[in-house]
Amino acid sequence: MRITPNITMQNSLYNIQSTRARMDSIQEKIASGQNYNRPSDDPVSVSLLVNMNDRMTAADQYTSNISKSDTWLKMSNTALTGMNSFIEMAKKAVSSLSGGETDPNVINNALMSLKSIKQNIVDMGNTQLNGVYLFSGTKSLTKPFLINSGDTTSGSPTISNLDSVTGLSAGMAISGAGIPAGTTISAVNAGPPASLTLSANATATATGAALNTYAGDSGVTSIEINQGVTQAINFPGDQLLTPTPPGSPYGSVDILATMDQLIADVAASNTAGIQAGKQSLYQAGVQLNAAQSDLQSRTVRLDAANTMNKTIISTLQTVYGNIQNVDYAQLGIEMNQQQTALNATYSSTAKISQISLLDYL
Amino acid sequence: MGLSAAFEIGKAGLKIFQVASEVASENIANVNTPGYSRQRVILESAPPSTHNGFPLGSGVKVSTVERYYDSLLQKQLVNAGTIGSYDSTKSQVLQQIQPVFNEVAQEGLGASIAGFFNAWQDLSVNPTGQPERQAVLSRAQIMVDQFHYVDKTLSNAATAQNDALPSLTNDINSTLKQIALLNGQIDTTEQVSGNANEMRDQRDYLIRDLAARMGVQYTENANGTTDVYVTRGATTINLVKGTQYGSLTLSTQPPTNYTVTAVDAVNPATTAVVDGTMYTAPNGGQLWATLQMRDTFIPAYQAYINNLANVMVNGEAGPPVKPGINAIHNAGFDLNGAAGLDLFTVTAGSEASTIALNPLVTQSGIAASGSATASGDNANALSMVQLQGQTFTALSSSSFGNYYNTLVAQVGVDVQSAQNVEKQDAAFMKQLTTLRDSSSGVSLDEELANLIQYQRSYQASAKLITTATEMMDTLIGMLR
Repeated sequence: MRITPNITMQNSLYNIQSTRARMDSIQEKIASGQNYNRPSDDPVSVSLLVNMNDRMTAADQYTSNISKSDTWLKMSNTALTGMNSFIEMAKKAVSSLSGGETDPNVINNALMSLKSIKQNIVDMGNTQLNGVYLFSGTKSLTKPFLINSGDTTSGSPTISNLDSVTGLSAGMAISGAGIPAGTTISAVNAGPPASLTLSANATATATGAALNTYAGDSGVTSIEINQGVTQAINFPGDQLLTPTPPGSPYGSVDILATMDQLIADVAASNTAGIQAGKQSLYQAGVQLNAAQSDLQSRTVRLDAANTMNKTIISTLQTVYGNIQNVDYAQLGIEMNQQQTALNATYSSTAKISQISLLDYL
Repeated sequence: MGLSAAFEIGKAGLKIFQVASEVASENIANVNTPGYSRQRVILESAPPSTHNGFPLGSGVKVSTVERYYDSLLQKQLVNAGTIGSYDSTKSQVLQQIQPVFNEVAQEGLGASIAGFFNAWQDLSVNPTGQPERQAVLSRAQIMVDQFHYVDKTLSNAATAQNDALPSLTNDINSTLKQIALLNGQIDTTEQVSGNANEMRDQRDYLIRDLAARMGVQYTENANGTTDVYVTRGATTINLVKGTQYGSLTLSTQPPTNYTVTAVDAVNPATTAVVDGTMYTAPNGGQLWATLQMRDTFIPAYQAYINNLANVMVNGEAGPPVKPGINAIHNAGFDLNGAAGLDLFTVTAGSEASTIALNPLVTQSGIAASGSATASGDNANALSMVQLQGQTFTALSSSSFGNYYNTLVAQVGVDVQSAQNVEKQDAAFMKQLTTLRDSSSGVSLDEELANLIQYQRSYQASAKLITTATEMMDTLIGMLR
């Protein structure tokens, strides 16, 4: 084939361009630290990288969900522990009582203790975290437990001379001494005087009887800890403190009503009532323990999910890095090779272009 | 016949070798002229005359000045130029579009979709939280902005192709006119003086240039003219016929897309639209690549993104019915117990460019709850979250993220294959150019050697005249 100086020059330029293009590609990888800087560099690898990135983002989100719920569960555990300890105090307060006491000081001390304990249990039940009530079910902006007092009449559904109707509404569960289990408020009359109509008749007549209402619901809030996998994180307050028949997963003791009944029985020195109350307190402790066991098992499950997520993230990061992170040593060697090739091409181009017949004429 | 014959032969030799030197000089001067084919002088013996009873030649004459031209190579160069130009245009446009889909280097639409659903995840953990609700609105807006950005980039790329058509067709029309002009000049020159090599070179170069801009066919006629034409089905449009030239016209209807029409050179009433019947890729050159990018490739990407936006917002009717974001939001309740409004608005057919956050949805209006009476319920937030993993038939049985990732990979494949084809075309073109230079290119070494040869021949012819002169002097001296 006949070769002209132009052909030689074109070939040299083409090779110089090719070498420069390769050097440019290596330079880009060194500067960015990544093997693949755009989808066209290797569509298959980029597709893999993008999918892995999505999975890592998802795993990060699940880790975040678990971490936020961890606070919720810890607070719930603290509240449950508190409730349990108050039940223990109540047991102590009545352990020495049998109903036959005549010393009014003994009785008064016991009554004060029990009333204070009940208030504390209610306060525990109304625990908040960042403005949200822990034990309201899904009505988390509503204070769950309200304490009231009013006059009950045996055989009548009306409670009169109510302390306050604030926060009360039809449909709410209500319990107390002389109120049958499972009773709800049928109507609220603002008055004055404020009164309530119940869904069932009271079984005792009393003035200033203690009443407990639950303004939350039994709804469960769940979070996603993995794709399509959820975990309930809340404990509805009615299941803990005021379960209605047939009972909650933890038990069937209405703890607040139990306290009210015990207070009434101690005040009346009702021996049988006090004995029954001691038994109920024991069951109340069992009930709260069951709830705490459930909480522990949820915590364990979340910890396991968290560990798995972290392992997934770590594995994916490693694989991602192996695919995407450049090997600087290798790139350095390749760059050197290309530089040598370029220098050689420059040198040969310069030498060849200087050879001409003109020099010899 | 006598000594005067020797003078004539010498004189002819001087003249001929002078012409040969001029041809060599012409080659040397045009060594770097693009499209120039080297020329050589073809010498032959002058017709013999009878001399003392036997024939004797009467010197040398120039038969012709011939250029080295390979018509087959020219055809291959024309075709390779058309294909190379098509692939190069396509590759350049795709490379301009690729950055918007580059999810490895930056957070684009894919990341914003994940961010939107992550905001709902955070909301599900704290359904009444105001910061979490604000985050949902913010992330929704970011996602909307990303849809707009992707669509706008694609639209702008398509518009740029459309806007390039006037100058491209002007260039083509100007080239057609020049070819026709050269046809006339070549015809006239060759009738008078016999060769128009430089003009033929120019015309070949223009044809290659034209073929790169639009795919054409051509025939070289016996009279030296070249006719250029395109065919659309059974219709043939002569773009150049002899000294007549046709043109490409644009329909004058911007802002809608231009339609390019080829007008016949001989009969302007005969026209043909430049479309898929006239060309199949990549035989249409830069013009067809421009039209295809504008009308087929870029709109395909836009349709993909529109489909994604549509299914995200509206779900699919099925069966089975699979709700989208709006339907799930409608099924939930906000902080005030009201049913959720549509979260996004879209217009059918241009979902990606028209998607917008519903301005009536406020922070409190985010419907995270599954119950009108329980503001702390997160059932609807969980439903929304689980939408992220839902596959849709309309998305080729993918989820939103995977559907978009498939597009990213597809763009990567398209760009990579366009770049590869472009490189192959360049290598092939280089090979053809080398072949052409090998046969038609000027080699300075050769021309210098020829110059020396002709110089010596010239000297020899001059010596012949000198010798004949001395012989004549001798003869005249005898007669004194």
